[in-house]
Amino acid sequence: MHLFPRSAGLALVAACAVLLGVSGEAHATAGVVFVHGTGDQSVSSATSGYWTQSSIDTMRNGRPYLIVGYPGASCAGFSQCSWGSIVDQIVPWVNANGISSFTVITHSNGSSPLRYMLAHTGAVSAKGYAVSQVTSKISQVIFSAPDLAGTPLADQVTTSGSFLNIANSVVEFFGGGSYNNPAVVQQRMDNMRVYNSNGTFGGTQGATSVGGKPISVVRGNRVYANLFSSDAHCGGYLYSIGLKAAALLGWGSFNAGTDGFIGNDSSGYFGNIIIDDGRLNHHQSRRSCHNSGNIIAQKVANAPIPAPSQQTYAPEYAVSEAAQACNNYASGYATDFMTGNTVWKYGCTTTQLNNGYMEPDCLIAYGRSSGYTIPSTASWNPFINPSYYPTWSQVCPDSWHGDGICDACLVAKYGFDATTGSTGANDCVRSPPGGSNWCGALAWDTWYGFHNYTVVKALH
Amino acid sequence: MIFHRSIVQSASLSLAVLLLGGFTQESNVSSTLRSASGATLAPGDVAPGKLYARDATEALGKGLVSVSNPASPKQPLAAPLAPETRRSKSTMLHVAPGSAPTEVRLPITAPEDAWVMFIPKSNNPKLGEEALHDVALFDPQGVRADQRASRAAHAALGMDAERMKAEGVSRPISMLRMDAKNTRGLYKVKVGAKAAALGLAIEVREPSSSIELSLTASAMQLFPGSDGYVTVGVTSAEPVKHVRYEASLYNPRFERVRTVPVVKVGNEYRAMVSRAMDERDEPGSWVLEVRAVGSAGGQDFDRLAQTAFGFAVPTARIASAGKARLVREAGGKVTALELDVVLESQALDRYEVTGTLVATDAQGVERPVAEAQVTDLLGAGTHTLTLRFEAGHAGLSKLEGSYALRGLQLYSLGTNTLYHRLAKGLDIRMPAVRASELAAAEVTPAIDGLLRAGEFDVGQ
Repeated sequence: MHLFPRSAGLALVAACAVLLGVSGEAHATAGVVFVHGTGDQSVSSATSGYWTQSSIDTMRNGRPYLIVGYPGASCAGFSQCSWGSIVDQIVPWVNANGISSFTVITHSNGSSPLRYMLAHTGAVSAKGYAVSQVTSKISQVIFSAPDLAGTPLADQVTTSGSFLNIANSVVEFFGGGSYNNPAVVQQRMDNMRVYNSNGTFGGTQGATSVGGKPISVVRGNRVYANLFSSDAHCGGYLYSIGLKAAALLGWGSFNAGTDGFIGNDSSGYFGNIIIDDGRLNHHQSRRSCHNSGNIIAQKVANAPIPAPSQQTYAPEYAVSEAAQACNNYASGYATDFMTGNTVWKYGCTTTQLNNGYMEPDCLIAYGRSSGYTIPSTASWNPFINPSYYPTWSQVCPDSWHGDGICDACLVAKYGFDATTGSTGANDCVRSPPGGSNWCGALAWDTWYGFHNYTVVKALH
Repeated sequence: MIFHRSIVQSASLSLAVLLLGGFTQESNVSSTLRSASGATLAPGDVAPGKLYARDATEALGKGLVSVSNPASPKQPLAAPLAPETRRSKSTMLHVAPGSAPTEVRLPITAPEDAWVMFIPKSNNPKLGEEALHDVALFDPQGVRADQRASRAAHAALGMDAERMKAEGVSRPISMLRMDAKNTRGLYKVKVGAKAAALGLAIEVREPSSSIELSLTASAMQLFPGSDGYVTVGVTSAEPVKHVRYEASLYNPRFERVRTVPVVKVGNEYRAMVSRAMDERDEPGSWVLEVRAVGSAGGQDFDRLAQTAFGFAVPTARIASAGKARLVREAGGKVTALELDVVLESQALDRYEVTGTLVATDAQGVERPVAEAQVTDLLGAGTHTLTLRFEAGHAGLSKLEGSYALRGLQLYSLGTNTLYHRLAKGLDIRMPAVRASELAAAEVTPAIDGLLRAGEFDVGQ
């Protein structure tokens, strides 16, 4: 027996959003365009290597989308071979799919060709398309970790002709092998001041719109100091340590405001900052880490999102037992509504908290188990271990945030299961007495005889 | 809807008299053109002298493109960026690839909080690591100084060397953290055969030093023949006994192309960049690099700093602008505000004219309400381009009165450089119009987003 597919839950949320008055573009014709940063990417490499499909799917919020691939290293953002290539991909996509408007999401120096386009609507691409054919359809621009005023790292690598060995793990952000490529030279801080002063790139300091388009900025402001924390693992450990070295390299202190690659002065040069996260480094901001993808998805849907200072939730495990939505401390038999099988919920007694084993339900109910603590995306976390998802094709994707089921796996990863916006979609709000909550958790499937991620109903 | 302009103007003039009543005595059209020659320049203005007959080489599309966009009045129109002073307490020394084993002298004036970075000239981590094993730093007493400093850097980074080995990195860091236990003086870097063959950049950062090199360009952009220079100075808490400056120019592709004379003018030193450049040079952003080597307080020092400035070879200028007019529809509503801009051109290029309409709020602050841009491929001769501001765009902020033109500029899309900028827009004012007379704007998704974000609310 299947309760309902997870996607149906998402659709329900979207429908509720509309009913609750979320305004904006007609969903059928509103799309999303993704523009990568420095690097010569094909559509394929931009999709799988730069953004990743799961991150794209989280951010696009169910809308039709285009992944742009263009020479973002060998061409500076102001060169026709950069912005023109983007225009030459967007116009046919718009025409072929009847796109009436679209959101543009860029990462890193992907902001530069967009800024050029917003500032020079009469420029014409190699295939003869005027930029205005693209800009007239743009509904909003979301710059993720944008390089709006340059980065000291570009100064560093162009002057030294190389990178610190340790930071080679982040060399991808400068397009791979050649450090003096045109896009990196463009990103020198002194050059960017010239381009910001002479109108090459649109957007003046403090502006919240450019070329008549609302501009939002997503940024990390710190490379999280503890490299052994779970956050450091999201997107790859070497990236995190490389970015921390890069932060030292660029600013002389990893406490300075930077995502390891772009300083706050640059990423916050203009635009409405909708995410300002101390646990989101330059690499993680393109991979939807730390709930950023879900918040971007809300923005794509024009749903209201809370101010950056209010984007955190009380960890679910910090909620008292009596107020928890999913009774994870309690053991017992239940029905898994995904398989229809009877499952044994492990539960967690106070003696199990420190019994020397890592008990999944202790993590969720109390936030700890025998020395392990959540939130965590470390490999020991059973909630992100694919072997515990034998009947699933996905392992706890972020798209499960706010879909109506309180997912223990998201609580284990992030401390909460909630999206932001007018739906108030915190899945782990306990229903009143007499009510019930849907709860996702690891349990023992008595029919199949294996551990599985299950969806059960918690009665109150 | 397209009307013959003279019909529109005469009809709208009649209607205006009927509809405006005593609101304004101004006509719907101003017949005069204001000459740009001899216009008083505001800070940040750019005005070409001689024009050059050099056709643009970048692929240029054909066709006139005219675009209007609403502008958010929340911020007053930004002033053009002024040159900034770039300061340096660091230097970079190089061992060229293919060199023989060598020793590099490294003056360190303030070891407290200083960093020394060895940067192999390779993006191959394995080769880089091998090279780093071949480099050693010795203090002024000849004692090896890199080993303790390397451990200090590890600690500053919070990195576990064992963990990095597991990631396949055995010599993970080439950053050396100095401290007060290190003496100041002349250090030596011994560069062994492998490192010298690969090439090495050595960077020294001394944030606690009082010796600082500063560079300030005289303007953000230079034309051939203009008197442009960069002011160079060294400041120190201790008397500077002597200092020698070496200045080099890098072209927009960041290739070092020539040296620049540094001369004493009055009480300051200037790198005379204009003397080193002429109309044959490539347009774009050029970088000046200055090395200052000397002695202060009996201590040798070495500093390196860079700054950039725009360089353009103008082929056109704004000759005049005016004939500001209101365009009305049959029902009397104003659909557009237009004005003509006359260009004088000496060469083929895709020229872009941009202007911003501002309204004056109750506090007397000028606030932008609409932007317009017109672009066309034009050869040598005199040409008229019309800036057309959609009335609905101007009306979104409900600021009425006589709109003024500001930020009038001419940009070359063929060279991506600025040819002419007049912040005051020749003080052209549009005929006065009530906000209620302005035709409503089409609410595109972008405008909808701006409206919902309150971008047009200025509390009038």
